[in-house]
Amino acid sequence: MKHILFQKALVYKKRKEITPPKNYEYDHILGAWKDKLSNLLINSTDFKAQATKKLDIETGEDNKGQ
Amino acid sequence: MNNILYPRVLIISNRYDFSSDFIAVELDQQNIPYLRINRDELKDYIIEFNPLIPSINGSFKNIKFCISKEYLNSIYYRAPTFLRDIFQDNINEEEQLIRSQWTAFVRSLAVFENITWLNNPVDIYKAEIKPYQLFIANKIGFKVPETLITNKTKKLNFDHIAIKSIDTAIINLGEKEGFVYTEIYKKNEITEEKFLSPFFMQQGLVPKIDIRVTVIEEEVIAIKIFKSDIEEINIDWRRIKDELNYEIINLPNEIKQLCIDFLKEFNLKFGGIDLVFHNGNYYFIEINPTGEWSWLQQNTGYKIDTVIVNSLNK
Repeated sequence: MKHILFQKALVYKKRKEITPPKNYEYDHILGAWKDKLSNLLINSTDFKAQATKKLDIETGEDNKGQ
Repeated sequence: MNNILYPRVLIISNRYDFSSDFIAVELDQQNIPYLRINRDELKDYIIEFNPLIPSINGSFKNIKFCISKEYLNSIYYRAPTFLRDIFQDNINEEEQLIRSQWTAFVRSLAVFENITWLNNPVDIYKAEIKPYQLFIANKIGFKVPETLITNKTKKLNFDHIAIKSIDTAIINLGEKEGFVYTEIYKKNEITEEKFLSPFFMQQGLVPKIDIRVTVIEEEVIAIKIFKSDIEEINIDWRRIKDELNYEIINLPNEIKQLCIDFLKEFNLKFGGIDLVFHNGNYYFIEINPTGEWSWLQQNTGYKIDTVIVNSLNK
């Protein structure tokens, strides 16, 4: 019998790699993502969508990209 | 090469941890010297780490830095302590060393012992043990759901039974992965079966209201998580996270104090505590010592980043 933890698990396609936020570059001095006009990703109206891209699958709060 | 940077605050993170962007920007705005080190870029760093003094001299791109106990006040640690990617295949030998040895390096920052940690990996490790969380929560006076860890299902004397993993469970299924959420079963859906590994069987708290409590030292930010007009979500709310609403609420003083005391028991300065309000009582579910918070800030406007930076700069 399938393990009870597997029976209702959310199954999704494995992510090969994390895609960088589109139109943003990571600023190593600031330590944050910015676009070409120096607008911060975290202040952008579509930040939630960008963030969701990274967090599209709930992988546990302490995985942090491992 | 620029001048040497002597950070007062060190952020350990990775490039895609956008919550760390909030902290970096807030530190920048407050003119606090800081350095963000991303674990996914460590292979391109050059470091000399003397664990006895302790001090770290390093360089990366055009940044040259010296992490020294004379200047360092705090570390914001956004990294795993439990490695859960052992199931991944096709990792070459160099990559295996990059992962294991740099991770060990990051953990080694624990030598900076007389500074403020949000949170120290040694404390995080202990606080990640979910049965131990429940033991401490119960000991200090939180209400905790009746709990059994077992590898054999049985009919518990509750109308609903929550089945959950003892630790985050991500399952390798070849081209796919599986993530195990907490699942609520009705009592009559449970039959007696033996399984090859253990799990939690808990008193299912139905109906329930989910509350996420972000605690930073003595500051307690409680946020009710609900779906449109319905207060009660009787499943794991993470399954419907795009349909949720958030509202800052006031907890009773004794519950606030229990949240603060719980962190102190684990020597944590930051924690995301999940509570459930059920039948007039607040129940402790779990704590996430490296929990997410920026989505709460975005949805409520509460400046959690400022509270974190204030703690790091104290």
